[in-house]
Amino acid sequence: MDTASKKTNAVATASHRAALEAWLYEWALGRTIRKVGGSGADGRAGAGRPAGGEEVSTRRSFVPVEGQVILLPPVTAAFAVGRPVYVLVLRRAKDAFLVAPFGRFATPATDGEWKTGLRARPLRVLSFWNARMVSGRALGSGWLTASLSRTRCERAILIHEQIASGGGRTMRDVGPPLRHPLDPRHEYLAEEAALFEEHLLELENPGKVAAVVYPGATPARLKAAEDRATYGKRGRRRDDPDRR
Amino acid sequence: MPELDQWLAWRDKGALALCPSAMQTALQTFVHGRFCRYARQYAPAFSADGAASLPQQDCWHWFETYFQLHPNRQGRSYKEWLFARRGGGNSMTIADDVESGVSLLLRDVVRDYLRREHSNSRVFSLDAGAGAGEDGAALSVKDLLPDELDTTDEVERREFEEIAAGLADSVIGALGYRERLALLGREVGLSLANPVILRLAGCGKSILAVAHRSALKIVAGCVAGAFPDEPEETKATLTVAVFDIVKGRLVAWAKSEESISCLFNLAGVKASGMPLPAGAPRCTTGRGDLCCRDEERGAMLYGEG
Repeated sequence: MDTASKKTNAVATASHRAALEAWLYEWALGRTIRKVGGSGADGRAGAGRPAGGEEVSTRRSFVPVEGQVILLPPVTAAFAVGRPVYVLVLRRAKDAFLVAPFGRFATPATDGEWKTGLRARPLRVLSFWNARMVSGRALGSGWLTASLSRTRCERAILIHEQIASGGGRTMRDVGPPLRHPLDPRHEYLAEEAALFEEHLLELENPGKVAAVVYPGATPARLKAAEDRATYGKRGRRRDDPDRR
Repeated sequence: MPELDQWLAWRDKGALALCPSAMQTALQTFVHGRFCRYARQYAPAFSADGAASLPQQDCWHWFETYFQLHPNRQGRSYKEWLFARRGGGNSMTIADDVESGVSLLLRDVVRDYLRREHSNSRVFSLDAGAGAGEDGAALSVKDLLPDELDTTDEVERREFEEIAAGLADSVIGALGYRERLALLGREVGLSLANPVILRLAGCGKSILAVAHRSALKIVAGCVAGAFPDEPEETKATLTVAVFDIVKGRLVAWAKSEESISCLFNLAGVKASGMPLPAGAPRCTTGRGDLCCRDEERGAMLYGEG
């Protein structure tokens, strides 16, 4: 390898290392603080106590537009990792909108997250990897909190398209790539995906089940390995010595 | 501890300072207590001992401004989010819902505060003491670190320079007069359509442009011919190094040649943006003074062309 390419790789590795270190610090902080939040030691309510949730229909809705930052309404599901979820409207497709949520940390975690450069703390990182289609009705039930400038919005859309096409690794202001299977960022991605998915699920279906439920097997039909013994009674097996 | 009406008053008035003092104390005490609990949980494991002793006003300020996007009502929607979480029931239950929401927000607030104000425990100052040296003077961690200069890279760079210097001689020998002039003109920042360069080269701008391309091909060809088995990246780096040396030597050659040294004066006029003398042709393209007419300006100033 020649000197120039060696230097380029060294710079990329150093910046990735610094970004990963910053992210891991935030992750460790978040994990440590979250351990306290289960219950209030002072006898008051702890963090993330499931709340009732106001009826969405009682607020006046609006029609979202590209570039708008919307704060999604809270949902009733018990989110241990819940927080106000801000989303950016990227594109309109008929009655639905492609939105990307803002991340919880100040540093992009992976090459699917982009550092926006905005000063507002909840809007510092956009999670393009978690972008989803949301109906206009669900989106319009939130709060319109800000609008990005046209230039920044166009840049965000461009970067989203590049990330969606797999070209994000070469861009600036994105996080380090995720390679190792034991990387804690896998857990972070799973948490964020679950939070956003369940949030949208409840918004799209107000008053219904707020999680994906997979029904189990019908109790009437026994599986091949199951016998007909009633639970709690001693069953007699063929090789049972008491049976003789 | 704050009651529901106190939280509602804070939301309606928009700022804590507008609330009665008893209400301010109750709200600040609650937020301060939660803030310190979260910070204290973090402190033993990391180096944030002072985090749990933040004044009440500071804790409240962090809480009230963290989720605020703008100072207007629209930018403070997180308050509406907070109160939209409340369920039905009596006022105590609703107050519990609000408190749980405040705690939820405070976790993010404390995390960000610690991130900004307290460095990672694994990070320590380079100016920290690291014992004493042989002469008894205090040593810092910085003194123990190796120099930023990477000797491996430096050796590689010198090797490239030596090879490039050797190749530059053969490149200059292979360059014709027009090719040298073309490279020189570009090096001093003049256009290849400059009448002075064209007069010196004794040809039109198209032929001079061809000579410039030919010169570049000669540089690349010499490197490729000398190191045919090297990877493309190495050849590219070496070509750039050879090209830099060749340009430097051409400048030295041009300064020693009286007939060509006028190019530097011409380039100096162009770079300085000196005003035109009375009667000189003005720019008619509308693109400013430094445009296609510059060559004509230079030629008139020096009585050439």
